[in-house]
Amino acid sequence: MIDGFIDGLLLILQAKPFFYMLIGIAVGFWIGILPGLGGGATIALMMPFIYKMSAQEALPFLLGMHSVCQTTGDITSVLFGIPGEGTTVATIIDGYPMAQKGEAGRALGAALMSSLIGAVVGAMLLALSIPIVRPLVLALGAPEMFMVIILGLTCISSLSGHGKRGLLLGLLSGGCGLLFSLIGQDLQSGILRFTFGQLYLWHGLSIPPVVIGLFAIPVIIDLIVQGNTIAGDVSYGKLGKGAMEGIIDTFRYLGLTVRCSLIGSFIGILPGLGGGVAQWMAYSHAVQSAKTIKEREGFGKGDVRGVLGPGASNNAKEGGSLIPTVAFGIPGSSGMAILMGAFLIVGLVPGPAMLTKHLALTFSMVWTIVVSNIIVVLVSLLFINKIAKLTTIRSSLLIPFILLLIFLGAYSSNNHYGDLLVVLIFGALGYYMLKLGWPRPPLVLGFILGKIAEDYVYISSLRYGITWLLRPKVIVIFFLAVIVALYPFIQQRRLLRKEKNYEIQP
Amino acid sequence: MKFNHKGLLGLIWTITSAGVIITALYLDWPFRTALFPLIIGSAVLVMASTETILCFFGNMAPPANSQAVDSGLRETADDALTSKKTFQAFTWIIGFVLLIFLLGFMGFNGTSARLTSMRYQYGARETHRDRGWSGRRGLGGRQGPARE
Amino acid sequence: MKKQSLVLIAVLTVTFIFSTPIKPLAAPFYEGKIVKLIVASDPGGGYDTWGRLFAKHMPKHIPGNPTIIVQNMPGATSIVAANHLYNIAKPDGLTFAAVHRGLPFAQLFKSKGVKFDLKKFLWIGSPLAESNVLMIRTDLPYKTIEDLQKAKTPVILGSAGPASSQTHFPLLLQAFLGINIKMIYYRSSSDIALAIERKEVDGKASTYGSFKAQVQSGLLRPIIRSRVSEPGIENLPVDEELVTDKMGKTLLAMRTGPDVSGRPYIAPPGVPADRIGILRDAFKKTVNDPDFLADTQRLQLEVQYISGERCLEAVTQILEQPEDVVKEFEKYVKF
Repeated sequence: MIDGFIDGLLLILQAKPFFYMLIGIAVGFWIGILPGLGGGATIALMMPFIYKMSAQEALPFLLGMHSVCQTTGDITSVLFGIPGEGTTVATIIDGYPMAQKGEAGRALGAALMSSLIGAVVGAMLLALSIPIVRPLVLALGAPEMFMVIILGLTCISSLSGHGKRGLLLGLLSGGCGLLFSLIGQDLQSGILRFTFGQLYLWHGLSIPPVVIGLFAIPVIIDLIVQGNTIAGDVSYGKLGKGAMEGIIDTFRYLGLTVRCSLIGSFIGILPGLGGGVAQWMAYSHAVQSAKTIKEREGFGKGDVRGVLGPGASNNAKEGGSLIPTVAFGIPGSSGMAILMGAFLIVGLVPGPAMLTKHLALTFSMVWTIVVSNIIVVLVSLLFINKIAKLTTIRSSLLIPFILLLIFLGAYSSNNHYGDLLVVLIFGALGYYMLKLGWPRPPLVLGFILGKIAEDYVYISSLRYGITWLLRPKVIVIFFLAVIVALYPFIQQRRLLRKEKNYEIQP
Repeated sequence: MKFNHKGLLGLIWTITSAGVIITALYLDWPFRTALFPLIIGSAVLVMASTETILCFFGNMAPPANSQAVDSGLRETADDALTSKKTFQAFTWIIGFVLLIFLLGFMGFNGTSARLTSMRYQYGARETHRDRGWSGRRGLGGRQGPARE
Repeated sequence: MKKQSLVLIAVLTVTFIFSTPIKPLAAPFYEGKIVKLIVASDPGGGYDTWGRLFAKHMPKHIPGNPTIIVQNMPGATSIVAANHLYNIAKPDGLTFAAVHRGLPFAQLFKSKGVKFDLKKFLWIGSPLAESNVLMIRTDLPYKTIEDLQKAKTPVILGSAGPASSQTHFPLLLQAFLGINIKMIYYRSSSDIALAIERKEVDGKASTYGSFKAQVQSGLLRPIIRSRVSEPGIENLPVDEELVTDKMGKTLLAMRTGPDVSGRPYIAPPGVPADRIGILRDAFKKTVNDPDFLADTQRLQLEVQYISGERCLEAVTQILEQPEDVVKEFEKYVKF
């Protein structure tokens, strides 16, 4: 196995693979930054080039491109409050307020560095878990997956606002997200639910337009209303603490960063959960790490930990989702599905052989993720303070560009004009939610998880009868979910007690 | 009772969730198909109506910016001006979408077609140079599930 | 002030440049043109893979060597794409589409939203005829169709949904051969593959190509197939031959109908005869092209040229079945 480890590194340090990786990084850099142009759809566009390449060239190219998307997607999220990727939405929640405070440099530094650590952790996990991967994935059936989704949904309580009213709104928001996920053709019966006679809605709402609408439109409205720049009244040049501070933050909170990387990896390994979930679970974990009530309230207003968590988990998820793709031929996400198509075209067969005969190649994939992230982080850091200055450009120049980009991005997922309408509707919804204090993250989370949750309930009960609830692993995960759901209350009581103690002591 | 616009969103969701429940019950759906809509619809109905009532009748105003996890709209001094500008902003955006819709058949299709055709043309040049890729056996075996 | 206006003008100019259309060039007709191949599914799946193979290899068989680009238009199991092709796409020979083979059933059952007539499309052809095989896990004691008929507990099969042939085939077998099965639906082929490995389901019915790897690695055993055969499954019992009931035979034949046009390619009605001729010709040449075949071999895809006429024939047969047969069919087959 050590041979594979070293051979893998040597494989990509050769001239041609390295060169292709650099091209992949260059392409992925821009794909990540442009909202809506997901890593998945772009890999599909790249197919014609891949036909010409051998495995040693195609893999570094594709993987370099894909893993870098997650890193640079954070840049758009921080600078403009618009998700660069479907998986970088959580970074907006604290990243964009930081940019509004003039701390864009710091936020970017934190996002980049945590992305790097996440990529490394995810890659390491991929390498280490190679022997146990197959039994691990096979051990979790539909019932266990359902409980994991419940676990994901309980994070909504941490994502909700402070106090009882905040919790109500958070749960309400999550419920609304679940309602939206019901739209479409029901899996078990083929019956169309809530499609209002529209063919466009047969498969339900697509995630990119929904997310773009919810987050990008309010940003644009805010820019138009404010009329100056993203960074508000902070004048050009005085951007506060720069990227270096952000990097230091990553190491200041290294424990959190690593834990969120592990969360990302774990979610990535589970096929079928999709990348959208990991970021919210990581974010809610970051919120849970708040040590005082004041800190807790600071989330959503520009706490750097809110950037570190999702930044790390996104990239870790990459390494994680490569595991089922490579080991089983079962893509861990839609981007991986296309990647797998590319694997087949260059003659690679996912399956046990990848972990034995072609171990070096598998390791070279691990190394590609690590090295490409290192490169993109270093390159970005060189330009970061200049990129951060974008937040000081007058919004009247930015707005047409941003509008064009987001609608192009939304349209590109289905090539259907309905997506633009979805952006508008969710844009209005997002705006009102912000105005009235309804948190948006639970809605997104409920929306993403709703459909999968229903599928697993159905499959579980059909396959195992009602006893599926009593399987041991299910119960374990259930307890975990209960703890996560109750954690905000436990945390609150603990913090209140601590602060009372401080008051009592002279 | 204070009828202010703040409770509007809650009201919309109350009505929507009621609609979901009614649809699930009266459209003759099989048990499983109706299950999730009923459960989620009921939960949302309860929560949304609570929120609506709190907004219209209660003393509790919606949480200020400081309490929500999610913020992004900056505070402004002049509320009337903000409303006017917000309305203008929405109009601009809708206008933009209409513009795309009208130009779209020339615009986006043309753009994406041109961009992808550039990629394909570059790809075609590669074929002529014939880098003998078909001679190169990939490192894996030749088995693989073709996808449905 | 002036500098800012200049920048603003520059910004607006760039924005407009991105919206200018392409100017078409002169004859031969296809020279310098861009041909759009609409694929009615998400990128990465089987239909998409085939589509991209054609996009890659067909241009050199069309005089003028146009560029073919793939546009994914998933939606309502290709009803959206078919509607687009029928009603919106210009019949100028610059657009054609790859649709789902089950589309005839949508029209047969008068599904909501169907705004096309498959008989009026111009059929280009298909690169293969798809087989349908019922496969069961090898660690289970069911080795033949008789074993399945005698099974005491239902055999659990995974499928992509009530509208998929993965469901139709077993349901018809259950009705007319009396096998004891239970269907569970999953969202994607990969989920089902994983469920098989987890022993969550006992098997599935699908095209042979999709699960050939599992068969060859010894995980799944093919038990019975439908009329279309492929190398490797020729010796399996055939559903229509085993079933004695006349209605059963008719229904099974109807279900198999679309399999002939395994991956159908169609063009809008009204394309001028010479251009559709060029496309059909190019399609046929591509399917016999050695480079194309090298690619398909690498992906372990079986290739067998099926002409446009043959596809249309199969589709017409389905669409012209009498009312009572259709009613009976609808009990088992959904779209």
